[in-house]
Amino acid sequence: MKTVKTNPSVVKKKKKGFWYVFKKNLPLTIMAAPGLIVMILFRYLPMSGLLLAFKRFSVRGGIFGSEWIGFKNFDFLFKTTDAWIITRNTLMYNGLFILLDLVMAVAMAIGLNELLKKRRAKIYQTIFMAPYFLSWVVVSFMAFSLFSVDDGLFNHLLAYFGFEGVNWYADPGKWPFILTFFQIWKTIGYSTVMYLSSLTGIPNDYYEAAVIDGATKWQQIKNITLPCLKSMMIVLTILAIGKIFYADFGLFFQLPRDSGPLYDVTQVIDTYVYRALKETGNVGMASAASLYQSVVGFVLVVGTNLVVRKIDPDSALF
Amino acid sequence: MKLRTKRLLSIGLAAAMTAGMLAGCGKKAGSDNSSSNEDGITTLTWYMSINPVAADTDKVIEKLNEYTRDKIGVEIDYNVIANPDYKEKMPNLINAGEYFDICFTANWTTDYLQFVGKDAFMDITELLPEYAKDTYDFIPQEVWDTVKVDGEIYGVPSYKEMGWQGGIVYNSDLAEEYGIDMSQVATLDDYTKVLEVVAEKSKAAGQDVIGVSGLVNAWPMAAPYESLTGNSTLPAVAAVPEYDNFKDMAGQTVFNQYASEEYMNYCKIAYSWNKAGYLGGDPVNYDSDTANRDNDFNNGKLFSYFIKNAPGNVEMMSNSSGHGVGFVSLMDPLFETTSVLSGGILAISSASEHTEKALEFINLLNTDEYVGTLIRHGIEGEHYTAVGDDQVDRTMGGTLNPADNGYDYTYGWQFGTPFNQKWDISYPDNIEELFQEYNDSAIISQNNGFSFDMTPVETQVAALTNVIAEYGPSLETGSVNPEEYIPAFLNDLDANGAQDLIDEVTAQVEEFQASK
Repeated sequence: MKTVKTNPSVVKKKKKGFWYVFKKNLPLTIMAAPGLIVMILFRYLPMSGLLLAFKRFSVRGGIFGSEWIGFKNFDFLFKTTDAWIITRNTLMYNGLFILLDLVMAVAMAIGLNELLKKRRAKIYQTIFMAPYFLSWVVVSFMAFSLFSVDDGLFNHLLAYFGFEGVNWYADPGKWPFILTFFQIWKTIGYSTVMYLSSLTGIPNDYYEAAVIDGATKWQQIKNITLPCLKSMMIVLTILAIGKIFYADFGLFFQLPRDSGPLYDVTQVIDTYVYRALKETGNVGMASAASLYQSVVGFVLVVGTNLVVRKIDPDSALF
Repeated sequence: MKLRTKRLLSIGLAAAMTAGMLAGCGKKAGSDNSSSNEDGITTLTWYMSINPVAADTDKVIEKLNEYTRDKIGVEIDYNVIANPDYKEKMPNLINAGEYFDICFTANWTTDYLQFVGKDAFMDITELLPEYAKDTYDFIPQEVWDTVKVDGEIYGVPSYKEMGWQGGIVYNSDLAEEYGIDMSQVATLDDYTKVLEVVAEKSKAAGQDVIGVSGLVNAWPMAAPYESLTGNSTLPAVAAVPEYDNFKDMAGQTVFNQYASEEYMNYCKIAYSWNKAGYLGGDPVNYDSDTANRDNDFNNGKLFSYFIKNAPGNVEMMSNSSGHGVGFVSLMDPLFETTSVLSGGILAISSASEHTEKALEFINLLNTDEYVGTLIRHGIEGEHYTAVGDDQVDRTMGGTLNPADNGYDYTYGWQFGTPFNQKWDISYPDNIEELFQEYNDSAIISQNNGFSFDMTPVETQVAALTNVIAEYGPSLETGSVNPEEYIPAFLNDLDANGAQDLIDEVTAQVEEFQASK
């Protein structure tokens, strides 16, 4: 971010002391204080817990007194035949979600924005937004009422049309689509609102000028709307990429109802860690897993930002 | 003016919010819960897991405190949490170093072995005979052996039925209606014929009664083995000679039960049942919803299900289900290390400052009839009426609906042994004899008292747990074809270090046997 331009005459004067700067920015500092305090308390202080990833945890020893064991806690993530599956699933699903979410949310935002009847647009927006507030557990039961083998809506429909029922929870082939559908269905409303809000920020003059020049609707979207949304798109995507190694536990655990035959397509890093550690409850291994996720996420955010900066320095996040 | 009020309001609000956030971080200043007060009364902090949390808990604890104050100079600071929450909260409280004196532990909640491994519990081996002598003498040595870790005792187990006995509970009214003779059933193979009849007759009568449920628990009942790791699903078990099974594993101290012929046979039976429609279409999901299952069982829509039985259980179930209930045993009771761990244990914190007093209190829970009855059935005249000298009536002669009873934990084994207390009249009069009979018939496993130290193979266990979760439930409920899936299952187990686990368990068991 660029620093706020100050009066050049002030800059030329000899450097002011800490207290001068502090006093001058006091109102701003106070405004930032609650957020900063919370961030230090809940984001930075707990980081000492990262030490546990390299220790064998004992209650008596606590975080600092427990015995060091090096990288042994990380082994369980890699010494499994599932290592490839969980990495592939986590990255591919999240990559797909990011892409679809971006394309569909932008399309829907533009569509809603073009609706002339604003009241109706608001109603649609609320309908799209509603699933975002449902818990995955609730969604999983809704899905169960569709997919249940003996009582599900789909199997009843299939039977009605004379087809044989499908054992949905034992058929891995269908789940990449089911998972993607529910994920997009659930999150699309929220992302749409983000884009809608930045759409309303585009000055009307641009469109008026374009109309005078005889631009079609498509040309307006291509040459005005999309370029104006670009920075929003980049920011949201970089943030999403930072989370690419965190899978939505609710989606991958609750929705398939923890069904074993589906593991090949539903096993992601979060569900793997949960299943692996619910028996042993090993705090060190859990810390190791989340440290690993954070480090990968951090590297990806910095990396993406670097790429963005190379292409278009103005759009980079930092 | 208006603006000013607004500004003041917003500043005030911001201040309040900040203060609120900071308040959450400070340590609780007030109650220093570990101290004894002036008159020599010690306050013990007790974390207990029980379902549900009774409405009149505070009243009962007040009564309890009146008694224990005089008797042993102890007051209880009682923190009771419902089972599902306790399971999530207590491990966090312990890991966070929260002070407590006594806590409930088992292998299904706040795992005993795991927290012993983390030094969370106090070694009470030496103190037991001194401060809880009655309890120490009352509970058989075999039961004490099961809670030993490296020869030391870290908690007082609930002594009730010894071991577990797998079998099938069934609706005996329906069985009679369909003309089924359940005494002919001794194995799962025999049961196939019963299920056939149930399906046929119920269809003829226009109802589609589900034959059997609970197959997720059924495999170890079909071919009982000793779970050496404390977890019956991990592939490292030992055969129990008395059952005369696992012939193909002869000569191996520790083996992978999933590679046995028994497992293949069991899965084939389950698969055939599922294909024939005896399991209600979707056994995995049906089994996981036990409330729905109980409902179906009570309404006659489900004929039977697999359970681990305990004495008096069938009588209790016929009372609650509204129809006759019978039980077919598939095996003699098996007593092994995990049987006690899967019950309940009261452990004392390694940070406790009142170990002796805590032990004296646990001793009262196990041996004092007044305390035992109070903590289970509540206050006389309010939650029960006395019947004779040894029984209580929780309906108070039919005037109190059990659902409205403010404090009633039936036989409440989670509080300690149910033997030294009054039983509810819904149990048979000779309930303690029934327990005795059951315990006498129990087979004590060869490696009773062995507790596995998982540390060297934690990585493998983590990977194996995932493999088992992937294949186990679908195979064991007959949802997939065993001929196809078992080889894949075994392959994945091998690839994820099943042999390392077996080797480690073998080494530890041999060491244990040598030291006996």
